[in-house]
Amino acid sequence: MTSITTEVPSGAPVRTRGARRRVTPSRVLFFVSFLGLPLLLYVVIVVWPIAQAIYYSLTDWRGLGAAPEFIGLANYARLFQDPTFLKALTNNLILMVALPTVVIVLAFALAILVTVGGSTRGEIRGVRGANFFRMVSFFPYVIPAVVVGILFAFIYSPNGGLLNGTLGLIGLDPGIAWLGDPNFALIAVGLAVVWNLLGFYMVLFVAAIHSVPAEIVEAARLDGCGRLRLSVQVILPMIRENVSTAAVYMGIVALDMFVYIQVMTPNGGTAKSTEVISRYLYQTAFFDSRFGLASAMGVVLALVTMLMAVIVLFGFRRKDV
Amino acid sequence: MDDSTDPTILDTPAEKLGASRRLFLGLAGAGAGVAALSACAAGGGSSEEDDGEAGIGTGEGEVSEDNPFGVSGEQPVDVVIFNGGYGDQYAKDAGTKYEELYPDADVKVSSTVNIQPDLQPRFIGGNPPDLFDNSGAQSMNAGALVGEGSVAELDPLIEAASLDGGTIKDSLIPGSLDAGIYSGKLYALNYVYTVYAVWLSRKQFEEKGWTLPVTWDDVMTIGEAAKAEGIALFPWGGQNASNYYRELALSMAIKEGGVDVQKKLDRLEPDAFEQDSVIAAYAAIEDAVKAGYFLSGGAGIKHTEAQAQWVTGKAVMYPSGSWIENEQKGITPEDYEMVGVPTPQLSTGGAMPAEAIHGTAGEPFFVPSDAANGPGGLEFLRVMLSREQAQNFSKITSSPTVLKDTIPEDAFGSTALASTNEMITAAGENTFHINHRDWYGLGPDTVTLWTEFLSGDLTADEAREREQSMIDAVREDDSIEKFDVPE
Repeated sequence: MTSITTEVPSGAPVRTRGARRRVTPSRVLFFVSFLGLPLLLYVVIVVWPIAQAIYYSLTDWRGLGAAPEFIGLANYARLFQDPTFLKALTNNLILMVALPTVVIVLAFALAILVTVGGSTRGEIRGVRGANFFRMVSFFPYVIPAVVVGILFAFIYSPNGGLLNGTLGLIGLDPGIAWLGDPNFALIAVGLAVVWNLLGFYMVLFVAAIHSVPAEIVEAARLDGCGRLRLSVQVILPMIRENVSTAAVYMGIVALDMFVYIQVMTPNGGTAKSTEVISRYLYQTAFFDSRFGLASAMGVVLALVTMLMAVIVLFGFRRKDV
Repeated sequence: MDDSTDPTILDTPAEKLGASRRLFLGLAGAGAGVAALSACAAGGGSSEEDDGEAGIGTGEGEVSEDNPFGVSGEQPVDVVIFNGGYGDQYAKDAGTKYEELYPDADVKVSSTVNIQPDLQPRFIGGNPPDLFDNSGAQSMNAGALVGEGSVAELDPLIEAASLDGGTIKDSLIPGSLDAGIYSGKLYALNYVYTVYAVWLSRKQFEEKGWTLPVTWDDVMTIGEAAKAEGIALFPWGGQNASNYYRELALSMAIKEGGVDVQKKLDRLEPDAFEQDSVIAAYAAIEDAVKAGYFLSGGAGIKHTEAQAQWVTGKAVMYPSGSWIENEQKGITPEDYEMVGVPTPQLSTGGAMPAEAIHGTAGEPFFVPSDAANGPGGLEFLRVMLSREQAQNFSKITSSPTVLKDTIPEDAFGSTALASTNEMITAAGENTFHINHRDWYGLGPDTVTLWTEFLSGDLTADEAREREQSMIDAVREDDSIEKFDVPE
């Protein structure tokens, strides 16, 4: 990041600070409309609900008219003794590590292939047909998560599903009900997410790689740098910021997962093998009508998400930048 | 009920039925207090102390034998119907009949899938309809309606003379009013009757020379015969409906041990799942799992796929509610001849006869207490509760109403409806219903548990222990309102 210049261009007319601060109707209007309104909206529709949720998490509110009773941290104590919640939290943490890792590694590899993966002679370019691959791999991203969930439920179906059918063609049909088997269900759902989102991160990385100055890449090549080394040791450090942003986004997806889980394993899977906090929260609030407890889950999820974002963003930051 | 077009997030018809009742009861408990419900469950009859605050007075018309509510012939009547799985034609037909009785009345029958968004403002504005069908995913808070006195008591309705002679009360299936009784008073008239049974193809049974099962041993014999032909006995949707088999197991246990078994379960007693008949029922299911009678792959699919496997001949029988024929319309082969048989007996010496059924009523109709034409609303219900209209409903929807003996021998060509009707008639007073799953929201947890059990990952004893600890947790949790179960 370059520091922002604060110098006034020498040719521009010099103004005193007092003149800048003069209150005129148009300035007031400007601040009210550009600062006041958004701030008001932000407070009303973001800050206030969050504050409410935190408050409700300390009560036994059931989502009905009756006034909630303040019960301190009892909801939180209850959550951390609830095996289903702990299972959900564990699953979320597993996904939080696994999903960004898999997606970023694959997306980066694909992005490299379509940008600098081509012939090492002549101009730097991607593999043959790079444009086509780039376009096609973006397709899954435009499919809504709900549809992806439904499609993959069919693919994983033990009765003539595409996966078991394909394995059957090579004589390997294991007869596994992928989404119903506690050993595979979470992986199966995770792979659907990877398929869905991979294209987006690839496009993100492609754009980032294009912004890497061509001279640097060419210089590295002239110095005898191979494609693998070029991508890992030259390009990757230069797009670090994009990678960390991608990691945060994917981390948030992994901590949410509601749509995928709800569609593919509606009750949190056999033996709660695919339970995640968001789905359990939904059940607690809207089926069991325990809004206080559900709010506590929401607060825990929010804290985990923030912690993840902070760690990733600080972890990727380097002193020399 | 057509699931594919239903916008509800609940997956199976059983869940929908359960959720509506759970909401109903949960809100009733919160609104009117638990005592109200305990009294409610104690049954009707004690309406002497009723001061008529929520009642509907007689109308401006002259009260007579033919017009028990004093309906004014000139006043319009406004009815709102939930346009769900049963459509709205049956109500329009009832409206036509109402017009025949009161030619000067302007009858307006409208329908919607959004009961709550459409009607809540009308209640707040003081112009609610005269009668409405509080059903579907977006139904109104029934408990709040009752608690706030927004809906009228229907005791006058069931005491009134039926269009066919006798009182309406006497024309109903025993126990069918229970779901609409609060604090001993009737507020909702549940119009549709649901029987939980084991469903199968009579044609298949005739072709294979199997007899319809009465006991669990019969079921297992058929399972063995089916296995020999490469067919599974039971299909199952492990993702969202494996607890249909929980219903089967508990119903078998209740038929074996009597209604006390059900009461212990509904009271969440510490030894509810240690009762002999429950042990026997879970062991019976385990035998079927071990014998490989459950269709493989069930753990990974939903009820829709499982039911499609069943009607296309990959499995023999399926425990479900009587909505199943309507739900499978369009997939079931023409000549399938779907029929239901009552829950099998664990032994021939059970406490309840082989004919006993698990049955309950749904689709609650309310008359708002502020209705402009309350008597008209009651009268409309009286029309709906006539034999003619009940038959019309059954004909249109292949579902029984709460009116007994209204389905003709041929059941309008529906073998499933005919068998449902036979089961209801044969059962008589021998009906029961299991409440704790819906009362305490155990649906999702029983699904994931039963999928483990039916996959063979849990033994029957482990499954029972887990069920017991599930209800123990509910019982010991003071933050959950408990509903009383009458002696």
